[in-house]
Amino acid sequence: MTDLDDLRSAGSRLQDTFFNFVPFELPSAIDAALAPEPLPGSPEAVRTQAQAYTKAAEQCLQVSLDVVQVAASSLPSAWKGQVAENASQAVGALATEIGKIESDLGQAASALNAWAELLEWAQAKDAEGRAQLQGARKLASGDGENPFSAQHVEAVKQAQTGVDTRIAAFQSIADQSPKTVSLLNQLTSQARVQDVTTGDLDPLSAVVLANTADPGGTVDSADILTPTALTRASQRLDAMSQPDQAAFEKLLSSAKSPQESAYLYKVLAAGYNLQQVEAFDSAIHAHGDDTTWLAEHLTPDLENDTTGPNNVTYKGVAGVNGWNYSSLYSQGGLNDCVAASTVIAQASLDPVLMLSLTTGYGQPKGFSPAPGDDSPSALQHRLQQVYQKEYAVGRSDDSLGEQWFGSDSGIYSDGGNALANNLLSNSTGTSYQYQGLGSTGDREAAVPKIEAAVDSGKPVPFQVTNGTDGHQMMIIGHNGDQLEVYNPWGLTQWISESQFVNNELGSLTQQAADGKPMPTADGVDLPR
Amino acid sequence: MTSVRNRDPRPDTDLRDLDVESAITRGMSWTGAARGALFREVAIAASWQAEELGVGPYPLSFLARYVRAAGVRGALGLPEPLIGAEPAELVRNWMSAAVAADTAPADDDLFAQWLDAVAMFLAVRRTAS
Repeated sequence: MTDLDDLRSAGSRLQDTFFNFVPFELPSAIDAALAPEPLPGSPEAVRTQAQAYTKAAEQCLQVSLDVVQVAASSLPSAWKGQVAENASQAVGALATEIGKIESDLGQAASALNAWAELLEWAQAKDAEGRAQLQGARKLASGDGENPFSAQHVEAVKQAQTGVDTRIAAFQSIADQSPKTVSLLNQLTSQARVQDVTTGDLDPLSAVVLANTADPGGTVDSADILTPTALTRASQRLDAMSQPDQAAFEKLLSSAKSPQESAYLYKVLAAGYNLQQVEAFDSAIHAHGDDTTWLAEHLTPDLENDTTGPNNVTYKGVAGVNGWNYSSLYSQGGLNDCVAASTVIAQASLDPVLMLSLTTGYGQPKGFSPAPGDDSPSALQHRLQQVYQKEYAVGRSDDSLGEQWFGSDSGIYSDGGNALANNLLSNSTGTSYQYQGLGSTGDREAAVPKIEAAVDSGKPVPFQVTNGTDGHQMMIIGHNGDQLEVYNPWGLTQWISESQFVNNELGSLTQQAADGKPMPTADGVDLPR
Repeated sequence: MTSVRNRDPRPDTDLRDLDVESAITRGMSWTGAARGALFREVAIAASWQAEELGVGPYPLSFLARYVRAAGVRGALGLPEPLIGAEPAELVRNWMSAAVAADTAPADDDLFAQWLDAVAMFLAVRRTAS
């Protein structure tokens, strides 16, 4: 129960004492209305804080004007070339950041001043209500206990006015409090640089990253990195080895624009490893200073409504994310497809996917739409392929031809590494490599690698054969010298390392329909 | 040859009654046996839950990709994490069980890896001859 609830309850009791002729309850009903403590808080303290914010905002404004002056005039005349360019970008970002701080502090000061004014009014109102209740309390004794006396009627009247006044005061605070808290929280969340928490990134770079936005035009001009992405990228950078951190920071420093740096950071936030970030950068670096190209090809231009992103515009063509149900049904069922909304949500967070969609990045030569074709129709076609699992997203090696999604049965195994790579390596950086197991030495060498993989939660597909038929299973665990094997016929069994090494695997497939087990290990997909 | 050590083959049907959601919370919270089971028994049981609703491996592995980028909590906000009301509810329940633990990227990556493992079980059954 809040104080406001208590006051409403006391107001009801006061009405009951009057209409139900229970005058002896009037004093206790008034006491109940007086019970909640006066509205707490110090308007003066709030105003003092607001004044501090106003003063800080004024200082920011002056600094901002100075920095803008430096960015606009002093730097270009002093420096030339890439150094001048970098300095201009950094100073520009600083000016933006300071401008945001000034605006946020100003808004916070206004909010606090408004809050102080409301609090002062509400406290005065509450004091007025309490005074009325205290007066009523006095009237309620003596002759006031007679329900038919004028004194009693006056006591009830004053008490009701008093409690209503208190309720109005508490209600105004209850109404405005969440709005003020929400505004202050929102202003706090705009302090974006604090989200770049990694210790090795210098503060100026953090400011530049946090304030880098795409240019206007047809593409959303919002900041490239959301606060969440800034935090996630910082955490992933901190988790990298020192050499990898250094390599990543070298990529950032080699970027031709803050936008290019921000996209590299965004790729890191999306979960890609250093090698994948480097491959991505090699694909976009030529356009690194063409911020319009970067925005167009790496961020979906979304039109949002209450249900989320519902319409993607690309190169002036609206609705390129259209969901073609007739095509989907002809491909064999919705449950093998990804919802368009999920693909677009991923593209918003994942510049690698977006680049792949807009340019065919990572797709093999000869595939349609042709890699490099960045037309709206090519994007539309690729989106349909992603919805329907016919697309290997973001790959950049040359072996894609054998890592393709089949269009009928989902995943196919060609005796190679299709199963693991198609599913896993797109997003994890865990690339699987097929290794033949033709010799005892091959199998002995594979065992420790298999055990390391399954111990880290990575299942290891392998194939067995009897010379005529083949079958694929997965090693999913290990304990001592025993390997736990999942047979897709719906069975989990254990074999020893020795059985694996000596090609004595027939027990795993003794349920074969034709009665011919497959004892020979043929090949294995191992995480690289 | 070394004989198989006192372990009988276990049919998947033995896992049908496994409480997948509770096991996800345990596996996300604790290392050791609970974590190990997450990628074996729990993933197998979950893969059958998904298969019974007709869910294929690809949408699950794509969802894993989104979890890596947005975190489990971010994925809970997707309007259609999987197509269809029942599949969407299934994975939302899994994800809700997972966020009982922390939301640092390492935990999100762990859950994404688990979704990939579930997808692998679905995929290898599809390829079975």
